[in-house]
Amino acid sequence: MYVRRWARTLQGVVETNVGMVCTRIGRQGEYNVSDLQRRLRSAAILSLATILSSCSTFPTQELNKEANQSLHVIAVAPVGMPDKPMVTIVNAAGNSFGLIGAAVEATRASNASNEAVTEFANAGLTYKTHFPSVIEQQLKAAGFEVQMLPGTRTGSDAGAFLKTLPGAPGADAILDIYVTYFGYVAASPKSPYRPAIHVEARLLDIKTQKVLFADQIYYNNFTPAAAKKAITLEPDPQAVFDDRAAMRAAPTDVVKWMRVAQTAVATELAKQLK
Amino acid sequence: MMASRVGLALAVLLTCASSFAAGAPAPSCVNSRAELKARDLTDLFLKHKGELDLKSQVGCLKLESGVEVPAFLLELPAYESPYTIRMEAPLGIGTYLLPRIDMLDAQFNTLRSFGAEHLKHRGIEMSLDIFVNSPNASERYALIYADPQHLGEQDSKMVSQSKMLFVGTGFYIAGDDNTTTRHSASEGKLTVTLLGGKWDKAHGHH
Repeated sequence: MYVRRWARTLQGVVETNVGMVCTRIGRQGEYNVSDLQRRLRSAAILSLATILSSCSTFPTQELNKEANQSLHVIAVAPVGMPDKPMVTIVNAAGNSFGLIGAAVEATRASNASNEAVTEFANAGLTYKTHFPSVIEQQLKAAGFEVQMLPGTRTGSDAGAFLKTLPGAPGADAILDIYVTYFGYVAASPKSPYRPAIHVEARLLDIKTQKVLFADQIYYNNFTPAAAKKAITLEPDPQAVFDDRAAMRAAPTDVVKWMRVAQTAVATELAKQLK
Repeated sequence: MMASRVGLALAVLLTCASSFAAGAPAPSCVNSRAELKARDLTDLFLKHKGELDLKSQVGCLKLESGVEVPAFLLELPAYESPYTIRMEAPLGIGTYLLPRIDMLDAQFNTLRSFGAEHLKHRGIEMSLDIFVNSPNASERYALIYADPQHLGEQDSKMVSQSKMLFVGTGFYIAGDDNTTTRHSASEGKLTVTLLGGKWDKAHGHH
């Protein structure tokens, strides 16, 4: 029964985009599928989990600057960062070949991620501390007094907005930021790699905890159909690596373009609040 | 580079001009904003989901520069408490709208103006939130037209595109970089949403 239903969902679907994939995954819950199939499917979409995290529309809210003219001191909560930089192929062939294919792709992505850790370190980029410092610089350049709050975000806090806000005496508002993607991405195994940073941010009034601003800033929004509302920054056209071998051969350039991406994202964030 | 952009802008303007000529009953261009027929924004939002199609048929305004562009005049709701007007212009195929929004008082004088440079480039659209606070209570109209300073501007986007192929026993996902190039035009679609206070409740009913 479920096979027929499954086939029906695919019938006529010859070409789609990530947005439709997103919709289809959402619909799968309606069908009568076995636990095994669920697990297979879960494995198959594992590498897309981060990408599809924006399936539900993010409630964007621009800052009403006129109504918040007293906003001068911003406390920045520890920024949520991924454990490792990511090196992903959006449409990896392995994901089309069930559990084994997904496992192969997961291994490839994991190896590439570990390599990126080394590449970043060798070229002098400690991204977990560098990115917050770039945000601090850009907020100061925009005219704010900035308090970088101590601590780190771990576990689920690293990939979601904080449930409990840290204290920030003297600040007018607190900036809560987490990064959902940080690294490089290729559209397919034959496509070049480009830098990508995806950030979710919100600004809350320190006294009322009212959300004053909430938005997504995506440098290289490679899933525009899923992240429809994200502020999109195009990657520098020169920031292109033909393949992983090209990245391994030029770690300095790999890091250089990541620094460019970080500055672009932080500048855009500060611009939203200025 | 500059010359090619100017040329492109000219080409778009000429295309628009010709579409004026070819299009069905295009109104004659008016020189004054006051001559444009105003549409009630509350009605547009509550009954028509805020959907606007800015094209020659809706109205035509001759700007001070002499350029004639399709224009829309929206009558704002009476100010009761702070609210937000959200403008969303989808990035269409080939062309897209980069609107300029002038906030006018009852005498049609410009009190605030938001050019295309204020728009945010989002995943599938250009968007702008206009906050109407108590100091803006005297604003009565929003005049919308394609920003003449940005007509013909090129938007080039690289997106990763998935392709799902049904192969009988299953499906195969492939993908590639896809670069799309668009030019801003004088016509295009726009969605206007009211946010804040009582409008959030109305929005929930949509």
